[in-house]
Amino acid sequence: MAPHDSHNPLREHDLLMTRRRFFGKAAKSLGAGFGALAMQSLLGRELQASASGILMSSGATGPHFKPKAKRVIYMHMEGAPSQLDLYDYKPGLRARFDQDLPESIRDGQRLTGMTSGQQRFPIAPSIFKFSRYRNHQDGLWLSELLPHTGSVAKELCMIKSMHTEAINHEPAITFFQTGNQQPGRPSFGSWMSYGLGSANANLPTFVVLISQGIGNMQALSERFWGSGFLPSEHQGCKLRSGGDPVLYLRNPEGVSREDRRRMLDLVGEMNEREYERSFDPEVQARIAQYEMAYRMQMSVPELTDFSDEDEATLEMYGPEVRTPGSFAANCLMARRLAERGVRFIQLYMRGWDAHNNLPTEIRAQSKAVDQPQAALIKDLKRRGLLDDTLVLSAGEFGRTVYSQGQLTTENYGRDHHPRCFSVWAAGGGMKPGISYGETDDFSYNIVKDPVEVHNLHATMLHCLGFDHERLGYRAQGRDMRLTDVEGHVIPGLLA
Amino acid sequence: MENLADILAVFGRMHPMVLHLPIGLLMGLGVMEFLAARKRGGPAARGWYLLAAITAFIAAASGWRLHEEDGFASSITMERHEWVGIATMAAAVTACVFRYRGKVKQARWSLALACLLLLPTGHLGAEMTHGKGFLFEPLEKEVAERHLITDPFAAEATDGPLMANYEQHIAPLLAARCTKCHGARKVKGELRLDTPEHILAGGEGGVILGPQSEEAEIYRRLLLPLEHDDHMPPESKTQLLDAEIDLLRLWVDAGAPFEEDFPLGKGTLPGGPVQDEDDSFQGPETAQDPIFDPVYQAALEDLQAALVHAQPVEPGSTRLWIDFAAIADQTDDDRITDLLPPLADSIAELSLSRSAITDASLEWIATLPALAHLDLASTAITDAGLSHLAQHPSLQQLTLSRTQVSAASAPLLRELPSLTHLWLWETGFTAEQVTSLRASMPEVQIVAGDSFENLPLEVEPALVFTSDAPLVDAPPAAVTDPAGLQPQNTNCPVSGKPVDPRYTVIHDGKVIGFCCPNCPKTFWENQ
Repeated sequence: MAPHDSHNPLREHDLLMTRRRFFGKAAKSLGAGFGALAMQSLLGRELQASASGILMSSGATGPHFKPKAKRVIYMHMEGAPSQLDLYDYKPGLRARFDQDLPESIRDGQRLTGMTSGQQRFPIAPSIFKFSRYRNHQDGLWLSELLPHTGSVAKELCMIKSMHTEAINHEPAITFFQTGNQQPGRPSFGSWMSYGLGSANANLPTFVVLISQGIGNMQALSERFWGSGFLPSEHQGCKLRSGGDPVLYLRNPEGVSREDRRRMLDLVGEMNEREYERSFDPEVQARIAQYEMAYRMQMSVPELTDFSDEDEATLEMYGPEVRTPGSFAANCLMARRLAERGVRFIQLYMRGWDAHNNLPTEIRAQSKAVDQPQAALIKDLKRRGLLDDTLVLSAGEFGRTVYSQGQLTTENYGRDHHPRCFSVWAAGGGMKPGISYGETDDFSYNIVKDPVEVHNLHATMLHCLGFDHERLGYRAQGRDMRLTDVEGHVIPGLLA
Repeated sequence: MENLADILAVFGRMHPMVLHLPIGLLMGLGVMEFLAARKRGGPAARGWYLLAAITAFIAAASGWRLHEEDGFASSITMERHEWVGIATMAAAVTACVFRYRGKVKQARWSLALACLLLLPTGHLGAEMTHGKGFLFEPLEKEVAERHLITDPFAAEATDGPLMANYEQHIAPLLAARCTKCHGARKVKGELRLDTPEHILAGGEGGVILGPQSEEAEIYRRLLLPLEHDDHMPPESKTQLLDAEIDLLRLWVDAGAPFEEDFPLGKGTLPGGPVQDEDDSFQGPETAQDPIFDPVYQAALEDLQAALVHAQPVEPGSTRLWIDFAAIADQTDDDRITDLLPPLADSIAELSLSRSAITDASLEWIATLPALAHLDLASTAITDAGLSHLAQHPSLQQLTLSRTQVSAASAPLLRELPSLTHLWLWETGFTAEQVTSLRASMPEVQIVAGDSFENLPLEVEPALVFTSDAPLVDAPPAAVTDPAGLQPQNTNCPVSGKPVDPRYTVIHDGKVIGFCCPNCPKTFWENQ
């Protein structure tokens, strides 16, 4: 005899919620009302011992040691830009036009299904001229596609020896964002929201900005900025370029701000009651989100209004800056967010997946990116923000030296290449003006100082004041980390 | 029907009341039957047996239900209580059955068994409600009144920092907690902790001291979880108090001095001098630490309420980074003087960029004794306000971008003793003035937004694409430069196209030509 009512999930929850479980859950959301009080009485001494515990905003763990960087601007080049045509200068390939990729170089490594059936793997040297720009070593060779980026070469920490495990976009992006190829882990931004906490209670801690590409585009899943098993308040907040920047933020027609306030007070009261009944920290998170949204009604319009930017600044970011959602506009937005204390600003630039017609596509993509990204670095620098803002530009993998499809001196395509690619960082404690790592003459394998994704994550976390082995969260029966069970800090990348 | 579970739950919770009925009945009946048996009298009335059996059953059933409710954490005590209790109930019921069948002797023995089982049942149950060891607690005064083995805070208060030393504070602690196993009589792990020489020598695992306490085995092992095999003292032995562990840490961090005193440092003992095992907080020194100052705490709460960000510049530090970014447009001079003065001694980094402050605030800001970073970008401050910062002893980084500040402040900036970084973009400084300022203070990094070169050092010459490069995988005999070795064939043996004299190989003493660099490979593969 099982009465239907006994299957009421809330009721079962009540029955299951023993004291021990309750404290366990509450502890995970330290800072959430009753949980915090209970923990404070239990761990009074520990809290007193680390004043930081009191000061960190809700739920944040706080850094483990003195941080160099206070925030991150992570520009993800979605689709994977060609390192051969932008960063990894291989002049020797110009004399190997249309030669076959030597077997000893490929060494039987797996290819994607898109080129594994090809009869030949003809070498496609970049058709773009490279120039050498002054940095703190013997200069940085950059493609003619990136003239503006060349002007900030002294600030760049160019890593030419990145490599990754995945060979297709979804798993590779998921890996770069969360440290695991399988979906479900928190993204880097969520970890930083959890670790650093908010520095501006009027804006989300983790903001995502998306620019549509010109070239071949791949799917962009919202889960790339999901919080996984971390409390949902740590997920990325997408700022849209058209209409309302944040969906459902505006009051509906006929609802005044006062009405909104009264409604929130009432809902808040009901939520408080629900929390007292269920002790579910997600209820507290929801109350906090409502309040944040209310404040964002004022702070977001101010943030997204570029009218207080002077003409010279707008010009520096390039003509596209006036087009909402362009990479230029999003770079400027990133600076404004950094200025306002947002901890993790993630830009997605789509359209780098140049399987065919690479020259045309990469020309347009680079044009959209080059001037704004250089402007962002200059703008941060002159405002005194670059020292504590870690800027990263990275795709999810590289592209092959051999041509996918027909190779001519005007056109070629490149397939996915996880074995080596180039990314760069700037500011925030990363070593400026250097190149790190080397690839072979074919930009196919790494010959010196390889950097695995977990190692880059560990190094960036180090700049942000975290020991990557200690920034963890217990889920699914074990302690989870951004670097999972791997990763080490690479001292050569640190300033 | 929903109420069935609730009613059962209430029934379960009646266990603590109900259980007293069978205790009274069984014990009373036991005494009556014992006396009756000695006088060879008849048994007690059947009803008593029935009542005892029924109440025992109710007590057991309600106890079972209470356990089901999952309100208690399962423990060994609980398991034992449950099963001994059920055995008691079974004995009582058996006694009742025998009594009704007229088997008096068996009924009495079963009753005696039930009474016997009642003792552990009751004791275990009481331990669950009142805590383990409740019964004999009054006899164990020693545990309740544990003191620190040595208490450096007991010393007469002096003006200087509190000091401790090995002889008075560390040695007695080791003697009390460690040397029974690590001493002259027993030397477990080849380690002795009874003399400085032996402590320095370490044990079978090597040295036990280290430059930092975290690496020192003598300290690290104390922090391991109690159940860890390496934890010291072993789980079954008396453990060190937190304050004693802290004392050891301070000693190790001070370089483990055996002769000299070592400082106890301000606020380093988080619990202060702990008198007993409760976590009460009564350190005379720690009271001076701003973390524990209610005024300081209240000021932090005010900041939080005003949505101003405050965070220690590093973990555990009382030096603060305070950022007004969230409310920059509402931040005026009054807000500064409202919120910050109680925290004055702690402010190390102050971000006021884009705020509405004026020169008036700088007069107060200049008095901050620990200020290292000051961000005034995009504010209305001028040379007049900046003049207050003259000779500020600790200021390292100063952001003045987009302010009215001009070259009139150059002498002041030059004289800032700790300055390392200066941002002057879009100020009154002209390019020449920036250049001359840079020249006059070369050790300071000055960013004025003018230092980006656009021109490359060199540009690659016009691109020529060829296939000339030697093949990586070609066999060693391949000759790519003909140099007089004319091919003996006119058509490529692989493709049949005309031979390009640049691509030849020597095979069987003959020079063979090919049409392209790819064909020799195929040729070799087919040999």
